[in-house]
Amino acid sequence: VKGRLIRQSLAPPALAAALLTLSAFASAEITLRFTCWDGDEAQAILRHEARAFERAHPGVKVQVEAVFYNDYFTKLLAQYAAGVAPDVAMLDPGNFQKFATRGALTPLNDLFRYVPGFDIGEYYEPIVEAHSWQGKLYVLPRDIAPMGLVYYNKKAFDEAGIPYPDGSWTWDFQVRPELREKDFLWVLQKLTKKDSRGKPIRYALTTWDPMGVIDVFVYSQGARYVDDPESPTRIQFTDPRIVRAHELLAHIYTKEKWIPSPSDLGSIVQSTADQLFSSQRSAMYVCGIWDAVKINRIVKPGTRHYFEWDIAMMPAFRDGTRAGPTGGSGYAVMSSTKHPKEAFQLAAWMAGKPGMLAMARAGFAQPAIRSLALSREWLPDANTPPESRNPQNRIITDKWVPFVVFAPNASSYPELYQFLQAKRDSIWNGQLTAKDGLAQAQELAQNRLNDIRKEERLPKLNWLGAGLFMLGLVAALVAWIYLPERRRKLLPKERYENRIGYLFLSPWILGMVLFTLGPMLICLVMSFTDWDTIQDARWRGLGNYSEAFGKDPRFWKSLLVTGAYTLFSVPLGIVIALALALLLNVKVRGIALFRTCFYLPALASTVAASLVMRKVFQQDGGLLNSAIYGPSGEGNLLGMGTMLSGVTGSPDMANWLGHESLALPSFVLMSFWAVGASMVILLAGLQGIPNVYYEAALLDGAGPWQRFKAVTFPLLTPALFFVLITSVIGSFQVFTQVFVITLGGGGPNDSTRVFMLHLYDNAFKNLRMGYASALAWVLFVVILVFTLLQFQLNKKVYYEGEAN
Amino acid sequence: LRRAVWFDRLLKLLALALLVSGAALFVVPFYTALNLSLKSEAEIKTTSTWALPEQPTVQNYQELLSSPNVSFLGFFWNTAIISVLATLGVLLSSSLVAYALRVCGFAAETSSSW
Repeated sequence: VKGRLIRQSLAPPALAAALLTLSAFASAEITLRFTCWDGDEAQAILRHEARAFERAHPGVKVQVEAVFYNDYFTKLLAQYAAGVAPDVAMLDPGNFQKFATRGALTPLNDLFRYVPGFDIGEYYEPIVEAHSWQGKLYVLPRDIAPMGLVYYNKKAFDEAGIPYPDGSWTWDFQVRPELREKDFLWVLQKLTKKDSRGKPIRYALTTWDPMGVIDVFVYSQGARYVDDPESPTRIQFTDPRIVRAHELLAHIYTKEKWIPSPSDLGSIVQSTADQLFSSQRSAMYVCGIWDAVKINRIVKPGTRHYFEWDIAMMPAFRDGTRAGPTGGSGYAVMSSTKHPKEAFQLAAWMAGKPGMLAMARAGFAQPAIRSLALSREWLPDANTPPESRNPQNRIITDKWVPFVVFAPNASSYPELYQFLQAKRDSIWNGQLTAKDGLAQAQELAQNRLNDIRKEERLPKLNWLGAGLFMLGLVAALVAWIYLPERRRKLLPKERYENRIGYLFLSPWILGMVLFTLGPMLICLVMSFTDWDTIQDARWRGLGNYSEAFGKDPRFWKSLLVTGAYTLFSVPLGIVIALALALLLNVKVRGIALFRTCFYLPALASTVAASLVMRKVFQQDGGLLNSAIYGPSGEGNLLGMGTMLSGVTGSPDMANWLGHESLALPSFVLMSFWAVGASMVILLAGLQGIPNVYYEAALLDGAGPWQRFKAVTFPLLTPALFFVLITSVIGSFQVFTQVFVITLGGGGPNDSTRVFMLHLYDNAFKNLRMGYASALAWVLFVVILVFTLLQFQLNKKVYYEGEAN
Repeated sequence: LRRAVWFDRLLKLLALALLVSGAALFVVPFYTALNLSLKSEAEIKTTSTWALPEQPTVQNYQELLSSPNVSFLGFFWNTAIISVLATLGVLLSSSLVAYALRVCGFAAETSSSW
């Protein structure tokens, strides 16, 4: 029987392996994997071009894969580390260095010869430079996308009697009425329409990302965020020019209300910036050219949504200096590819004439080859169909190029930039002054940068030593379990039974060692190192732990947030679960249906549930707020509206997920929705209580409360104890809800940055596996301590059948 | 005694009321999800989350099943593989372990508290 069992369990993997081998031999032709982060329509174009490439290169097949931008780089790195990276990957100036510095990309200069007539000189110089590192090109540019474009509604300008922008705008720190329409702030002021209470009916401007405005303010004054974009040594967030730029934008967001702040967009206005523009609730819109397609689709000629619009350049500073942020992207050949020649040919096809023209014709991307960006495929003329003729002034996408500034492309910059982003949230909504916020971000980022520069000089991890250390730990563990057993003399029968017992346990032991114990040990070793998953690990000693406890304010913040979440969600959750269980134990008709209803949420996938919960807690039109404030928005259910205003200090409807003091309570409330899992255990416990006890209690004349106190509760303690322990462990590990709802940010201002999120960010966003491992062990110890503390309660738990 | 019966009925009625309102509360998010899935993107943006779809559409479902960029069947297959193998693995190893713990001489050595 045993033999057959083994044979059966081995058969499927063996079969799968055989099939894989067969399929590998069956196809003699080359298959290139190509990944990008484009949306559905652009992807369709890329697929189409991939087919064209296949026709032009017989024997080569192309497989197009797409990953959402937010996960793209994490996934690509993981694929590379696992040895399953694609052959050609889309990358951009802000992220390619992460890969290039780790040797994951092939320098393209040596591959140019594989494409006859290839000339890198045809490409816009700034984007070629932005994709190069130490003199080598790593990403073949596909497009350049200056972000300082202003889409403007001509009707709004006509109404206000202001001439259309002609590129002569300048900006200063205050409105300059004497310059009239040449002054950017004057135009913003004139274009904003407010109601009698000062609430904007139409904004002057909205932005796809605040970057489109703030970076223009910063760069055009000549300021930069770090001293050296390729290998920074000094962070310059507190540069007075940067501080003043932030002060200005915060002032516009909170006082003047010419531009809706990011949190206003998400909550009060309830739409995205491009929707605000295309529904004429904002006169202008700052973005790159890529959104023209989306806007053309809604602002269609011949429909009631149509209005005349065009694009202009964001203003220059008062002294005439012009500069602005830009995007751009291209295709890189991964160093792991087995077919560098074909891979480069594919990259040069997609980021060459055929691919660029296809993308340009659809209006998605400005070609990185200048002659193509000046061709009629990109610039509209008399023959262009009316539905894609706007914006007519598309030539300014070319005029912007000499003034673009790429974000620093040091591989450490994304991590450093996070410190700035986190503080900006609070600066934009007025909770922090620009000066304080930037000073805090400066200190954190500079500290981190100093550490990064030190880490580069750490010694490599000695794997032999680490292996011996792990073996020693395992030996100690085995000894600790096995030695006490050893002392007792076993009868032959017992020894036989033990042997059979271990045989039965072996699948579990194997799984435990391979998938739990082994990874835990490796995690322990890694927690003393600095490891980015690709390069060799470096020995850091206790550095990770001392950084967590001593230098990382987010570590303490996240521990605090997780603690607060546990403190409220677990006890209240158990009370609710118990109440529900008692309620569901009542014998009424249709109780099975009710049980299903209450248990259903526990079965829902957390990701799907979280997406729905965003709608429930939405400020305007969310389920919760429409219950509290009624459809008119003026209601006040049970005085809750007043109470919430007291908490937020604002008369507006409660912004559950957007306000610092309401965001975490929202997650606690959400956790109650899924109490079904605990409820079922308690219900089973309740039903396991023999009826004789209740009958005896009734005969003794006990009322409902006494029955609960003397019979139900004590007999339920084992179930309650189990629920308590598992809930505490689960709530310390809370992650998915926060990750999905705050889009991985843990905002606002880190008020929902739970511990696991901090760990995830360090592991996968910052690629600091060593630090993340240390965090994992800290969490493990915290949970262990809390669980041991709870076991002190074990003495009070009543176990039936035990002699108490 | 009649008073006690009457009191009991009142309690049951109260419990029923709580059950109905509680169940409704717990089911609302499911209603929301279904409701949103039948609305077009434009309608979601312009109408209340509570409101029933004015022009119900199955476009979202069609897109999910037919989009060339999203392989629904592929995703479903991935989930199916994980679910089936994980369940089989758990059933196999847990039943073996449980048997060993109970029937073989191991029982005496395991803690009685769990």
